[in-house]
Amino acid sequence: MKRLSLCISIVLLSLVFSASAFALVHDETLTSQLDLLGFIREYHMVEIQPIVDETAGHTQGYGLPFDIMGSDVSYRDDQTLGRKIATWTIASTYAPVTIRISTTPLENLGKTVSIDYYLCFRYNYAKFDDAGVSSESSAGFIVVASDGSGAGEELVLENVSTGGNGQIYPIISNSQDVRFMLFDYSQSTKESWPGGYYTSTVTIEFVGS
Amino acid sequence: MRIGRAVCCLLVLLLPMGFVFSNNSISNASLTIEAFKEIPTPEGVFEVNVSYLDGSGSKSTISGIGSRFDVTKRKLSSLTKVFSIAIRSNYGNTVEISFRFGPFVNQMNNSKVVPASYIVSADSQDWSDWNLYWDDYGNYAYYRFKPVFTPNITSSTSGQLVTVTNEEKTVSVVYSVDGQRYVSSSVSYDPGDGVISQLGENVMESTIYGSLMIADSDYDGMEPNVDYVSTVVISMEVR
Repeated sequence: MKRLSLCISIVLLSLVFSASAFALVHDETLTSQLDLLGFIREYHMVEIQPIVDETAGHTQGYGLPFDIMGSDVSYRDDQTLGRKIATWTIASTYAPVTIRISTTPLENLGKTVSIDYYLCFRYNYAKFDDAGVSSESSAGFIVVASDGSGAGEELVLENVSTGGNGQIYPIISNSQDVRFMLFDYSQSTKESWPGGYYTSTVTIEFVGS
Repeated sequence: MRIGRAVCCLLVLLLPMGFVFSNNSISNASLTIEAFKEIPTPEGVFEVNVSYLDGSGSKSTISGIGSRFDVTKRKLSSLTKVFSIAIRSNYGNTVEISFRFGPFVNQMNNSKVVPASYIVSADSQDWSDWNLYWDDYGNYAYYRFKPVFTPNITSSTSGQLVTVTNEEKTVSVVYSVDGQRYVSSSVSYDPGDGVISQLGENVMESTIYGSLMIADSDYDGMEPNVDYVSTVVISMEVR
Protein backbone atom coordinates (compact mmCIF):
# COMPACT_ATOMS: atom_id res chain seq x y z
CA MET A 1 0.00 0.00 0.00
CA LYS A 2 2.84 2.32 0.89
CA ARG A 3 4.49 1.47 -2.39
CA LEU A 4 1.32 2.30 -4.28
CA SER A 5 0.95 5.64 -2.46
CA LEU A 6 4.57 6.43 -3.20
CA CYS A 7 4.08 5.55 -6.86
CA ILE A 8 1.01 7.78 -7.16
CA SER A 9 2.85 10.64 -5.47
CA ILE A 10 5.73 10.29 -7.92
CA VAL A 11 3.30 10.29 -10.83
CA LEU A 12 1.56 13.44 -9.60
CA LEU A 13 4.87 15.20 -9.03
CA SER A 14 6.03 14.16 -12.46
CA LEU A 15 2.86 15.51 -14.01
CA VAL A 16 3.31 18.85 -12.30
CA PHE A 17 6.96 18.98 -13.30
CA SER A 18 6.25 17.99 -16.88
CA ALA A 19 3.49 20.57 -17.23
CA SER A 20 5.73 23.27 -15.81
CA ALA A 21 8.58 22.22 -18.05
CA PHE A 22 6.30 22.34 -21.07
CA ALA A 23 5.20 25.85 -20.19
CA LEU A 24 8.78 27.01 -19.69
CA VAL A 25 10.02 25.53 -22.94
CA HIS A 26 7.04 26.95 -24.73
CA ASP A 27 7.68 30.44 -23.37
CA GLU A 28 11.38 30.40 -24.31
CA THR A 29 10.56 29.24 -27.84
CA LEU A 30 7.97 31.98 -28.10
CA THR A 31 10.50 34.69 -27.27
CA SER A 32 13.17 33.26 -29.53
CA GLN A 33 10.88 32.97 -32.52
CA LEU A 34 9.66 36.51 -32.06
CA ASP A 35 13.23 37.78 -32.31
CA LEU A 36 14.38 35.69 -35.22
CA LEU A 37 11.44 34.95 -37.48
CA GLY A 38 8.83 37.52 -36.68
CA PHE A 39 5.96 35.21 -35.83
CA ILE A 40 4.72 34.19 -32.46
CA ARG A 41 4.87 30.43 -32.63
CA GLU A 42 4.62 27.52 -34.95
CA TYR A 43 1.15 26.91 -36.23
CA HIS A 44 -0.63 24.82 -38.79
CA MET A 45 -4.35 24.93 -39.37
CA VAL A 46 -7.10 24.69 -41.94
CA GLU A 47 -10.63 25.84 -41.35
CA ILE A 48 -13.73 26.06 -43.51
CA GLN A 49 -16.73 28.07 -42.45
CA PRO A 50 -20.10 27.74 -44.19
CA ILE A 51 -21.95 30.92 -45.01
CA VAL A 52 -25.51 30.55 -43.80
CA ASP A 53 -28.38 31.95 -45.82
CA GLU A 54 -30.79 32.78 -43.03
CA THR A 55 -33.42 34.46 -45.17
CA ALA A 56 -36.78 32.73 -45.02
CA GLY A 57 -36.89 31.87 -48.70
CA HIS A 58 -33.13 31.37 -48.99
CA THR A 59 -32.96 34.36 -51.30
CA GLN A 60 -29.77 35.88 -49.93
CA GLY A 61 -27.93 35.03 -53.13
CA TYR A 62 -24.99 33.33 -51.44
CA GLY A 63 -24.39 30.77 -48.72
CA LEU A 64 -26.12 27.55 -47.65
CA PRO A 65 -28.54 26.04 -48.32
CA PHE A 66 -29.19 26.85 -51.96
CA ASP A 67 -31.60 25.81 -54.68
CA ILE A 68 -29.95 23.37 -57.10
CA MET A 69 -32.22 24.69 -59.85
CA GLY A 70 -30.91 28.24 -59.40
CA SER A 71 -28.93 29.94 -62.17
CA ASP A 72 -26.24 30.89 -59.65
CA VAL A 73 -25.14 27.24 -59.35
CA SER A 74 -25.64 26.24 -62.98
CA TYR A 75 -22.65 25.33 -65.10
CA ARG A 76 -20.39 27.92 -66.69
CA ASP A 77 -17.23 27.47 -68.69
CA ASP A 78 -15.28 29.35 -66.03
CA GLN A 79 -15.34 26.95 -63.12
CA THR A 80 -13.83 29.47 -60.73
CA LEU A 81 -17.20 31.19 -60.59
CA GLY A 82 -20.35 29.83 -59.03
CA ARG A 83 -22.19 30.50 -55.82
CA LYS A 84 -20.16 31.53 -52.80
CA ILE A 85 -21.05 29.00 -50.09
CA ALA A 86 -18.18 29.13 -47.61
CA THR A 87 -14.86 30.69 -46.70
CA TRP A 88 -11.72 28.80 -45.86
CA THR A 89 -8.49 29.68 -44.13
CA ILE A 90 -5.12 27.99 -44.24
CA ALA A 91 -2.18 29.06 -42.13
CA SER A 92 1.07 27.20 -41.64
CA THR A 93 4.67 27.67 -40.67
CA TYR A 94 5.30 24.17 -41.98
CA ALA A 95 5.45 25.33 -45.62
CA PRO A 96 5.56 24.01 -48.22
CA VAL A 97 2.17 22.50 -47.52
CA THR A 98 0.08 19.90 -49.31
CA ILE A 99 -3.69 20.38 -49.61
CA ARG A 100 -5.86 17.39 -50.37
CA ILE A 101 -9.58 17.90 -50.93
CA SER A 102 -12.16 15.17 -51.33
CA THR A 103 -15.85 15.61 -52.01
CA THR A 104 -18.90 13.40 -52.34
CA PRO A 105 -21.70 14.08 -54.84
CA LEU A 106 -24.88 15.74 -53.65
CA GLU A 107 -27.44 13.12 -52.72
CA ASN A 108 -31.06 13.35 -51.70
CA LEU A 109 -32.23 11.72 -48.49
CA GLY A 110 -33.31 8.55 -50.25
CA LYS A 111 -29.98 8.42 -52.09
CA THR A 112 -31.84 7.88 -55.34
CA VAL A 113 -30.09 10.75 -57.08
CA SER A 114 -26.41 11.64 -57.21
CA ILE A 115 -25.47 15.09 -58.50
CA ASP A 116 -21.90 16.03 -59.34
CA TYR A 117 -20.43 19.48 -58.98
CA TYR A 118 -17.29 21.58 -58.97
CA LEU A 119 -15.91 23.40 -55.96
CA CYS A 120 -13.46 26.24 -56.40
CA PHE A 121 -11.20 27.04 -53.45
CA ARG A 122 -9.50 30.37 -53.89
CA TYR A 123 -6.35 31.26 -52.00
CA ASN A 124 -4.27 34.38 -51.56
CA TYR A 125 -1.21 34.68 -49.34
CA ALA A 126 1.46 37.32 -48.86
CA LYS A 127 4.94 36.87 -50.29
CA PHE A 128 8.04 38.29 -48.58
CA ASP A 129 11.43 39.49 -49.71
CA ASP A 130 14.78 38.55 -48.19
CA ALA A 131 14.32 41.07 -45.42
CA GLY A 132 10.96 39.58 -44.44
CA VAL A 133 9.02 42.52 -45.77
CA SER A 134 5.75 41.76 -47.51
CA SER A 135 6.36 42.43 -51.18
CA GLU A 136 3.50 40.90 -53.20
CA SER A 137 0.86 38.21 -52.98
CA SER A 138 0.29 34.83 -54.55
CA ALA A 139 -3.31 34.21 -55.58
CA GLY A 140 -4.80 31.16 -57.23
CA PHE A 141 -7.48 28.54 -56.94
CA ILE A 142 -8.09 24.82 -56.68
CA VAL A 143 -11.02 23.41 -58.64
CA VAL A 144 -12.25 20.06 -57.36
CA ALA A 145 -14.77 17.82 -59.16
CA SER A 146 -16.97 15.63 -56.99
CA ASP A 147 -16.57 12.67 -59.34
CA GLY A 148 -12.79 12.86 -59.00
CA SER A 149 -12.35 13.72 -62.66
CA GLY A 150 -10.57 17.00 -62.00
CA ALA A 151 -6.87 17.54 -61.44
CA GLY A 152 -7.21 19.82 -58.44
CA GLU A 153 -7.71 17.33 -55.66
CA GLU A 154 -4.15 17.85 -54.44
CA LEU A 155 -2.02 20.97 -54.49
CA VAL A 156 1.35 21.89 -52.97
CA LEU A 157 1.90 25.50 -51.95
CA GLU A 158 5.18 27.05 -50.91
CA ASN A 159 6.24 30.52 -49.96
CA VAL A 160 9.86 31.15 -50.93
CA SER A 161 11.40 34.59 -50.55
CA THR A 162 10.94 36.86 -53.55
CA GLY A 163 14.61 37.73 -53.09
CA GLY A 164 17.36 35.26 -53.72
CA ASN A 165 18.20 33.78 -50.35
CA GLY A 166 15.66 30.91 -50.53
CA GLN A 167 14.09 31.73 -47.20
CA ILE A 168 10.83 29.80 -46.63
CA TYR A 169 8.03 31.89 -45.15
CA PRO A 170 4.70 30.88 -43.60
CA ILE A 171 1.58 30.63 -45.73
CA ILE A 172 -1.43 32.54 -44.49
CA SER A 173 -4.50 32.63 -46.73
CA ASN A 174 -7.36 34.04 -44.74
CA SER A 175 -11.12 33.73 -45.38
CA GLN A 176 -10.99 33.14 -49.11
CA ASP A 177 -14.01 32.13 -51.21
CA VAL A 178 -15.29 28.60 -51.72
CA ARG A 179 -17.61 28.54 -54.72
CA PHE A 180 -20.03 25.89 -55.93
CA MET A 181 -21.10 25.01 -59.47
CA LEU A 182 -23.00 22.03 -60.89
CA PHE A 183 -21.75 19.86 -63.71
CA ASP A 184 -23.18 20.68 -67.13
CA TYR A 185 -26.56 18.98 -66.71
CA SER A 186 -29.38 19.43 -69.24
CA GLN A 187 -32.55 21.15 -68.15
CA SER A 188 -34.55 17.94 -68.58
CA THR A 189 -32.12 16.10 -66.31
CA LYS A 190 -32.45 18.78 -63.66
CA GLU A 191 -36.20 18.62 -63.86
CA SER A 192 -36.09 14.87 -63.33
CA TRP A 193 -34.39 15.29 -59.95
CA PRO A 194 -36.89 14.85 -57.16
CA GLY A 195 -37.66 17.75 -54.89
CA GLY A 196 -36.27 17.69 -51.39
CA TYR A 197 -33.12 18.12 -49.35
CA TYR A 198 -29.65 17.29 -50.65
CA THR A 199 -26.33 17.00 -48.84
CA SER A 200 -22.70 16.41 -49.61
CA THR A 201 -19.50 16.25 -47.59
CA VAL A 202 -16.26 18.07 -48.29
CA THR A 203 -13.07 17.07 -46.49
CA ILE A 204 -9.82 19.02 -46.52
CA GLU A 205 -6.53 17.53 -45.41
CA PHE A 206 -3.77 20.06 -44.84
CA VAL A 207 -0.29 18.56 -44.44
CA GLY A 208 2.83 20.49 -43.59
CA SER A 209 6.35 19.56 -44.56
CA MET B 1 0.60 -7.17 -10.40
CA ARG B 2 3.75 -5.10 -9.96
CA ILE B 3 4.32 -5.23 -13.70
CA GLY B 4 0.80 -3.93 -14.22
CA ARG B 5 1.39 -0.99 -11.92
CA ALA B 6 4.69 -0.22 -13.57
CA VAL B 7 3.12 -0.11 -17.01
CA CYS B 8 0.42 2.15 -15.65
CA CYS B 9 2.94 4.59 -14.22
CA LEU B 10 4.98 4.55 -17.40
CA LEU B 11 2.01 5.45 -19.55
CA VAL B 12 1.02 8.31 -17.29
CA LEU B 13 4.53 9.67 -17.27
CA LEU B 14 4.87 9.52 -21.04
CA LEU B 15 1.65 11.38 -21.66
CA PRO B 16 2.95 14.94 -20.99
CA MET B 17 6.02 14.21 -23.09
CA GLY B 18 3.72 13.29 -25.90
CA PHE B 19 2.32 16.79 -25.88
CA VAL B 20 5.77 18.33 -26.08
CA PHE B 21 6.84 16.31 -29.08
CA SER B 22 3.55 15.94 -30.92
CA ASN B 23 3.60 16.60 -34.65
CA ASN B 24 1.26 19.48 -35.35
CA SER B 25 1.78 19.62 -39.11
CA ILE B 26 -1.46 17.86 -40.13
CA SER B 27 -4.79 19.59 -39.90
CA ASN B 28 -8.19 18.59 -41.22
CA ALA B 29 -11.48 20.37 -41.79
CA SER B 30 -14.80 19.37 -43.27
CA LEU B 31 -17.95 21.00 -44.54
CA THR B 32 -21.42 19.68 -45.21
CA ILE B 33 -22.96 21.24 -48.28
CA GLU B 34 -26.70 21.66 -47.93
CA ALA B 35 -28.89 22.19 -50.95
CA PHE B 36 -32.48 21.67 -51.92
CA LYS B 37 -34.82 21.45 -54.83
CA GLU B 38 -38.17 22.95 -54.18
CA ILE B 39 -41.01 20.51 -54.21
CA PRO B 40 -43.52 21.74 -56.78
CA THR B 41 -45.90 24.18 -55.21
CA PRO B 42 -49.45 22.87 -55.03
CA GLU B 43 -50.76 25.23 -57.66
CA GLY B 44 -51.91 22.54 -60.02
CA VAL B 45 -54.58 19.93 -60.11
CA PHE B 46 -54.03 16.48 -58.72
CA GLU B 47 -57.20 14.56 -58.09
CA VAL B 48 -57.70 10.84 -57.76
CA ASN B 49 -60.89 8.97 -57.22
CA VAL B 50 -60.72 5.28 -56.42
CA SER B 51 -63.94 3.31 -56.69
CA TYR B 52 -65.27 -0.18 -57.15
CA LEU B 53 -66.77 -0.92 -60.51
CA ASP B 54 -70.50 -1.46 -60.12
CA GLY B 55 -69.81 -0.89 -56.46
CA SER B 56 -72.43 -2.34 -54.21
CA GLY B 57 -72.30 -3.39 -50.61
CA SER B 58 -74.78 -6.17 -51.14
CA LYS B 59 -73.62 -9.75 -51.45
CA SER B 60 -76.63 -10.53 -53.61
CA THR B 61 -75.65 -8.12 -56.35
CA ILE B 62 -73.78 -9.96 -59.03
CA SER B 63 -73.87 -7.61 -61.98
CA GLY B 64 -70.37 -6.31 -62.24
CA ILE B 65 -68.42 -7.19 -59.20
CA GLY B 66 -68.44 -4.49 -56.52
CA SER B 67 -66.76 -4.79 -53.19
CA ARG B 68 -68.71 -7.87 -52.07
CA PHE B 69 -69.71 -10.72 -54.29
CA ASP B 70 -70.98 -14.25 -53.95
CA VAL B 71 -68.68 -16.70 -55.66
CA THR B 72 -71.38 -19.38 -55.72
CA LYS B 73 -73.26 -17.13 -58.16
CA ARG B 74 -70.35 -15.79 -60.11
CA LYS B 75 -66.84 -17.07 -60.34
CA LEU B 76 -64.01 -14.85 -61.48
CA SER B 77 -62.36 -17.43 -63.65
CA SER B 78 -61.07 -14.75 -66.03
CA LEU B 79 -59.70 -11.32 -65.32
CA THR B 80 -62.54 -9.01 -64.31
CA LYS B 81 -62.25 -5.30 -63.63
CA VAL B 82 -63.04 -4.69 -59.98
CA PHE B 83 -61.83 -1.17 -59.24
CA SER B 84 -60.75 1.96 -61.06
CA ILE B 85 -58.60 4.98 -60.35
CA ALA B 86 -59.59 8.19 -62.09
CA ILE B 87 -56.74 10.69 -62.30
CA ARG B 88 -56.93 14.36 -63.16
CA SER B 89 -53.56 16.08 -63.02
CA ASN B 90 -51.42 18.87 -64.38
CA TYR B 91 -49.14 18.91 -61.37
CA GLY B 92 -45.55 17.77 -60.87
CA ASN B 93 -43.37 15.69 -63.12
CA THR B 94 -44.81 12.24 -62.70
CA VAL B 95 -47.24 10.32 -60.55
CA GLU B 96 -46.13 6.95 -59.24
CA ILE B 97 -48.94 4.63 -58.28
CA SER B 98 -48.10 1.54 -56.28
CA PHE B 99 -50.46 -1.37 -55.75
CA ARG B 100 -49.98 -3.88 -52.97
CA PHE B 101 -52.08 -6.95 -53.55
CA GLY B 102 -52.91 -9.70 -51.10
CA PRO B 103 -54.62 -13.10 -51.29
CA PHE B 104 -58.16 -13.77 -50.05
CA VAL B 105 -57.96 -14.64 -46.38
CA ASN B 106 -60.50 -16.80 -44.55
CA GLN B 107 -61.99 -14.58 -41.84
CA MET B 108 -62.56 -17.52 -39.51
CA ASN B 109 -59.08 -18.93 -39.93
CA ASN B 110 -56.45 -16.53 -41.21
CA SER B 111 -54.09 -19.35 -42.12
CA LYS B 112 -56.46 -20.41 -44.89
CA VAL B 113 -56.01 -18.31 -48.00
CA VAL B 114 -57.23 -18.40 -51.56
CA PRO B 115 -54.74 -17.28 -54.21
CA ALA B 116 -55.72 -14.36 -56.41
CA SER B 117 -54.30 -12.87 -59.60
CA TYR B 118 -54.35 -9.15 -60.33
CA ILE B 119 -53.43 -6.93 -63.23
CA VAL B 120 -53.56 -3.18 -63.70
CA SER B 121 -54.37 -1.72 -67.07
CA ALA B 122 -55.44 1.46 -68.81
CA ASP B 123 -57.53 2.07 -71.89
CA SER B 124 -55.57 2.79 -75.03
CA GLN B 125 -54.51 6.40 -74.68
CA ASP B 126 -54.73 8.71 -77.66
CA TRP B 127 -53.49 12.20 -78.23
CA SER B 128 -55.69 15.02 -76.98
CA ASP B 129 -55.54 18.44 -78.58
CA TRP B 130 -55.12 21.52 -76.51
CA ASN B 131 -54.48 25.21 -76.94
CA LEU B 132 -55.30 25.97 -80.55
CA TYR B 133 -53.89 29.38 -81.33
CA TRP B 134 -52.27 31.57 -83.96
CA ASP B 135 -48.60 32.08 -83.26
CA ASP B 136 -46.61 35.28 -83.86
CA TYR B 137 -45.93 34.31 -87.47
CA GLY B 138 -49.55 33.75 -88.39
CA ASN B 139 -49.25 30.00 -88.27
CA TYR B 140 -52.02 27.90 -86.90
CA ALA B 141 -50.60 25.77 -84.12
CA TYR B 142 -51.71 23.51 -81.38
CA TYR B 143 -50.33 21.34 -78.66
CA ARG B 144 -51.35 17.80 -78.10
CA PHE B 145 -50.67 15.50 -75.20
CA LYS B 146 -51.22 11.92 -74.26
CA PRO B 147 -50.76 10.02 -71.03
CA VAL B 148 -47.81 7.67 -70.80
CA PHE B 149 -47.59 4.74 -68.43
CA THR B 150 -44.38 3.04 -67.44
CA PRO B 151 -44.46 0.11 -67.89
CA ASN B 152 -46.87 0.37 -70.77
CA ILE B 153 -50.19 -0.97 -69.50
CA THR B 154 -52.35 0.28 -72.36
CA SER B 155 -52.13 -2.70 -74.70
CA SER B 156 -54.15 -5.81 -74.06
CA THR B 157 -51.07 -7.97 -73.74
CA SER B 158 -49.09 -5.65 -71.53
CA GLY B 159 -49.24 -5.19 -67.84
CA GLN B 160 -47.85 -7.46 -65.22
CA LEU B 161 -50.08 -10.24 -64.01
CA VAL B 162 -49.47 -10.66 -60.31
CA THR B 163 -50.50 -13.91 -58.70
CA VAL B 164 -50.61 -13.76 -54.95
CA THR B 165 -50.62 -17.09 -53.22
CA ASN B 166 -49.62 -16.07 -49.72
CA GLU B 167 -47.28 -13.08 -49.33
CA GLU B 168 -48.42 -9.68 -50.52
CA LYS B 169 -46.91 -8.41 -53.76
CA THR B 170 -46.39 -4.89 -55.04
CA VAL B 171 -46.37 -3.43 -58.55
CA SER B 172 -45.82 0.18 -59.55
CA VAL B 173 -46.92 2.29 -62.48
CA VAL B 174 -45.49 5.69 -63.31
CA TYR B 175 -47.83 8.12 -65.01
CA SER B 176 -46.49 10.98 -67.10
CA VAL B 177 -47.47 12.79 -70.30
CA ASP B 178 -45.95 13.12 -73.72
CA GLY B 179 -46.45 16.36 -75.61
CA GLN B 180 -46.07 17.64 -79.14
CA ARG B 181 -46.61 20.96 -80.87
CA TYR B 182 -47.85 21.12 -84.41
CA VAL B 183 -47.79 24.18 -86.67
CA SER B 184 -49.75 24.67 -89.87
CA SER B 185 -46.56 25.23 -91.83
CA SER B 186 -46.04 21.49 -91.27
CA VAL B 187 -43.18 22.18 -88.94
CA SER B 188 -43.56 20.08 -85.88
CA TYR B 189 -41.45 19.11 -82.99
CA ASP B 190 -41.68 17.36 -79.70
CA PRO B 191 -41.39 19.60 -76.62
CA GLY B 192 -39.77 16.58 -75.15
CA ASP B 193 -39.69 16.98 -71.41
CA GLY B 194 -42.72 14.82 -70.81
CA VAL B 195 -43.57 16.23 -67.42
CA ILE B 196 -47.15 16.59 -66.41
CA SER B 197 -46.77 20.22 -65.42
CA GLN B 198 -46.17 21.15 -69.07
CA LEU B 199 -49.91 20.86 -69.48
CA GLY B 200 -50.16 24.31 -67.96
CA GLU B 201 -53.77 25.32 -67.61
CA ASN B 202 -54.99 22.05 -69.11
CA VAL B 203 -55.66 18.90 -67.13
CA MET B 204 -55.00 15.39 -68.35
CA GLU B 205 -57.50 12.74 -67.37
CA SER B 206 -56.87 9.01 -67.31
CA THR B 207 -58.26 5.91 -65.74
CA ILE B 208 -56.39 2.90 -64.45
CA TYR B 209 -58.25 -0.33 -63.78
CA GLY B 210 -57.50 -3.14 -61.42
CA SER B 211 -58.66 -6.59 -62.48
CA LEU B 212 -58.99 -9.75 -60.44
CA MET B 213 -59.07 -13.46 -61.22
CA ILE B 214 -59.40 -16.54 -59.04
CA ALA B 215 -58.59 -19.86 -60.65
CA ASP B 216 -61.44 -22.36 -60.88
CA SER B 217 -59.50 -24.96 -58.93
CA ASP B 218 -59.11 -22.59 -55.98
CA TYR B 219 -62.86 -22.33 -55.37
CA ASP B 220 -63.08 -25.97 -54.36
CA GLY B 221 -61.32 -25.47 -51.06
CA MET B 222 -63.37 -22.48 -49.94
CA GLU B 223 -65.52 -22.97 -46.89
CA PRO B 224 -69.19 -22.08 -47.39
CA ASN B 225 -70.75 -19.17 -45.50
CA VAL B 226 -67.35 -17.77 -44.55
CA ASP B 227 -66.15 -14.37 -45.69
CA TYR B 228 -62.89 -14.18 -47.59
CA VAL B 229 -61.29 -10.78 -47.74
CA SER B 230 -58.45 -9.53 -49.86
CA THR B 231 -56.73 -6.20 -49.34
CA VAL B 232 -55.43 -3.91 -52.06
CA VAL B 233 -53.38 -0.96 -50.87
CA ILE B 234 -52.98 1.84 -53.39
CA SER B 235 -50.50 4.63 -52.78
CA MET B 236 -49.82 7.58 -55.04
CA GLU B 237 -46.85 9.89 -55.02
CA VAL B 238 -46.44 13.03 -57.09
CA ARG B 239 -42.86 13.77 -58.02
